[in-house]
Amino acid sequence: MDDPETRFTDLYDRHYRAVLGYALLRADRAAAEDVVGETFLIAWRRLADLPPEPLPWLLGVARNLLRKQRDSGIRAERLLAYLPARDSPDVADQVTEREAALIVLAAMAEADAEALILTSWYGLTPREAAKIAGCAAGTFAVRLHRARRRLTEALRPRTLQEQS
Amino acid sequence: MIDDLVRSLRPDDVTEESYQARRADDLTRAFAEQPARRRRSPLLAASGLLAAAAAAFVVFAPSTTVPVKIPLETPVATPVLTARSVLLAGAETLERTPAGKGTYWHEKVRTFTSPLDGVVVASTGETWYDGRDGKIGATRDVKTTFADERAEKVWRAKGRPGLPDAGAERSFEGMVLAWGIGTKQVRQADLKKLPADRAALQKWLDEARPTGEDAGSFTFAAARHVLTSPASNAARATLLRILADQDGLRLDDDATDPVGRPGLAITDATGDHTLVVDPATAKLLAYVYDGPDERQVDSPPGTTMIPARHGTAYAYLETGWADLPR
Repeated sequence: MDDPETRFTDLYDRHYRAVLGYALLRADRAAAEDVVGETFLIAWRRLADLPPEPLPWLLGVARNLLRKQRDSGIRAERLLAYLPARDSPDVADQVTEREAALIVLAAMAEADAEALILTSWYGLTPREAAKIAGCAAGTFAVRLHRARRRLTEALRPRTLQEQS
Repeated sequence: MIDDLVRSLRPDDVTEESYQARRADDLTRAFAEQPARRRRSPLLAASGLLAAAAAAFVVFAPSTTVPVKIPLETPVATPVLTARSVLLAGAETLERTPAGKGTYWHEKVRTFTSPLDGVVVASTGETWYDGRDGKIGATRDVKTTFADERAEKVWRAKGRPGLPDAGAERSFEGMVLAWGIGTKQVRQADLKKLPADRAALQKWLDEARPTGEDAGSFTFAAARHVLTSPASNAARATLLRILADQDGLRLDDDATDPVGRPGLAITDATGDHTLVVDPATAKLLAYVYDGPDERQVDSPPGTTMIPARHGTAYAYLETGWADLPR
């Protein structure tokens, strides 16, 4: 387990999907895959220095690489193309709801959307996620709260909105 | 439940497909390289080159046979140093350090720039400044070092770029010294007032950080100014604690700064910024910038922006309160 190649392979197997998921928020698929490849190459070069829990570190490196891209904003159309299929009796409702959620996410301040995605997709603690987002934990908590509230309000059924 | 809904948006199908398709190639590409144990910046390596050149002039005494007693190796428990533990220890050291005395903040800095590949220009500058007046010493000890003869030829052919102006000693009359830290233009009085409270200092840094800039990288760049400034020791200690909490820090506990002083080198996750710290005093010995060249941008009238250039290093030979020299 301690030889570098085994350690690195394990790192890749455990975290490739998560890092790519994050990169797909900010780049088209080919560019995102290149960024993730580069992220893992950096991780290999610095294998001796990786923290015990490496996912936040990997996401941080990917974020830095993505920032160098020309168009690295979170885009609804980009995300819509990757919307996973679900087998469910009320699949049409679900798709509509998820599409609506994506559009709301893409329309809100990018930092707010990122806060919500980092915590719900990866189960990161707000403190870990704040480091990746490059802000103080307090600022991150505000962004997360704002994003949750905005999404909840936007997806609230119309009848409820009319009653309120 | 909002979090469940957001989780259902994760593109798992695409990431799985990509993982299967890319895994073999990505692993092969990585394994084609040796994983680096430590990464040294070109300038730190260049200083090693200088040291090696100097060693060539050492005259060895004729060899004599001296009986050498080799001590038996005994296992010694040594604490494991990490970048974080070094920075936190540095913060404690700074908090115990009394403030210095004097009217003028004195800096003696040896600057290394790399105007062309394989060329390093070094020079020493000195300032004494009380926020209004003071003295700027003449630029001294200009020395150009080349990786090889070809680099020297190219440098000469291009008109010897990168040599500093050999200005004479002058006063600060008609000038105000200010530092650009992110979006803030900071004067000496501002630095003296930097808060030691962690939340307040973090807020100050967040306000100064340009939109979209990585917090860790920005904090490292800001640290170069703050750690060598007349900020209080308590504020500097707080900054070290903020640095300690950055992800992806790397420590080289066997580094030397560009003038050959031993120290602990801490590099941020991007690899752009390295701080070399003296573990005994927690003083910043040097800052090395390995990031891409910054672009020159418009600065307010009457001010000059000095963009960061790849391969620039500053060795802080002396920093502290002092009186004006006669």
